[in-house]
Amino acid sequence: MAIDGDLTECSDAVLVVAISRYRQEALAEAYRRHAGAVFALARRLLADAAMAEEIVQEVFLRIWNQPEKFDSERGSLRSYLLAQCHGRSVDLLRSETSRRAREERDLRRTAEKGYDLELEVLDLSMAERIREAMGALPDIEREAISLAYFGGHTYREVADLLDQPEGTVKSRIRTGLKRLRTELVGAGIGGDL
Amino acid sequence: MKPLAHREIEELLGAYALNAVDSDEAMIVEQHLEGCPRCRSEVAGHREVATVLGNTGGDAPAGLWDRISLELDDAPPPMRLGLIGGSASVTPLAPRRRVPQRFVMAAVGAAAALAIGGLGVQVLRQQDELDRVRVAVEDGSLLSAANVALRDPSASTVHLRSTDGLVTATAVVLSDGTGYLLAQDLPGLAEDRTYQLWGETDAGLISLGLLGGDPSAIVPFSVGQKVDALAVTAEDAGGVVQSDNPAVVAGTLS
Repeated sequence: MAIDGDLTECSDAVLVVAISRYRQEALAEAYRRHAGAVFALARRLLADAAMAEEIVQEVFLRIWNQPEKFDSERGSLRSYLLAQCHGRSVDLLRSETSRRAREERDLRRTAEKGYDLELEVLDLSMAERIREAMGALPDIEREAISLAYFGGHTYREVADLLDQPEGTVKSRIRTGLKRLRTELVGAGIGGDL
Repeated sequence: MKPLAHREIEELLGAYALNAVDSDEAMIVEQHLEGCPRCRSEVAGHREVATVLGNTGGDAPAGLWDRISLELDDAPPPMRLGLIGGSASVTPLAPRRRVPQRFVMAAVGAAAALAIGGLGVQVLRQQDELDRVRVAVEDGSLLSAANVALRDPSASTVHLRSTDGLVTATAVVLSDGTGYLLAQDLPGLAEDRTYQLWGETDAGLISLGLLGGDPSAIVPFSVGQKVDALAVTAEDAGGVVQSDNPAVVAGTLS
């Protein structure tokens, strides 16, 4: 696919090359494809739409300013953008200014049934398969991964929340991710995992 | 914080991949990852799993793109404007659709001749020059990186030669597409001229970027797909859409 052709048909890797050429329409196309997912993850982590918008803006300005940081050999563009989004959101979560909002959010979620699996995937069948894969994990692994990834907690904080030894939580996150990978591949999700 | 044993670091990899470690632990893990491909691979795997979990749908809020695009106008990326002296690299361009080609690479012994034409190759912008310098400036270990690549048994080496065999260059391409061109023997060009690097792929000929008129000893480049041959032409500054110029040097990958 030519990078000076129709960008809507370009691969993500080609889009990033076009971005490195200062083609704003390439960034716009990357935004069209992935901004919704980036925003959804940030909003879920931060429980604040305005802060989530800031994260989205930061993530897309980063790929604009530093396109060479994305390595298509090491994963998809969406995976890269979501990883950036998660890292920045967690940084924000852990900042002092957001602590109060986070505590309030945690209180709200405690009262919501099934919080740890509140997937918002548009593809409902995929959401169900992810839900089943998560459901196949032992409780402590599922809870530890959910609190760490979606709650933005460190494993030490997770240990406190679950009243488990830190070493146990650290280990369970790792084994849980490995088990989850197997479950997801078995469910036909993420063939490249 | 005391140094951690390999097994202790391994235990942290899951939490690290989820950004669930403290900053001091993150630093230790990152230092370890620099020298441990196995742990790097594990972290990448964990992050892919996390991506599936975090890959939710929905739309971005209306108006957000407008705000981002305003930032692009107001704050052009400064790094790509930091033109200072240094060695060069090139930035890969995507292959164009296959079109009737007049590209000929006829190897005569170890030498090869090249003609390029009829190819819709992206017009390279002056920006390429800036990009390549930026990369080189950021990477102070170019020489060591090239040396490592040359010793990598899985890398492909290309000996590029002129048709008369008097001008030579060597390139090495790693399995991940990273390449290094040792171009110190290329004669200097006039100020309004530049060398242009080309790669031949299954999808056709692609321009791999501009080298400038006086390439430094080592020129890093990158290819996003399998390349069968490399060639360097001399072009007017800014590069060309298509070229009928003969290759200054050319060669096929071993």
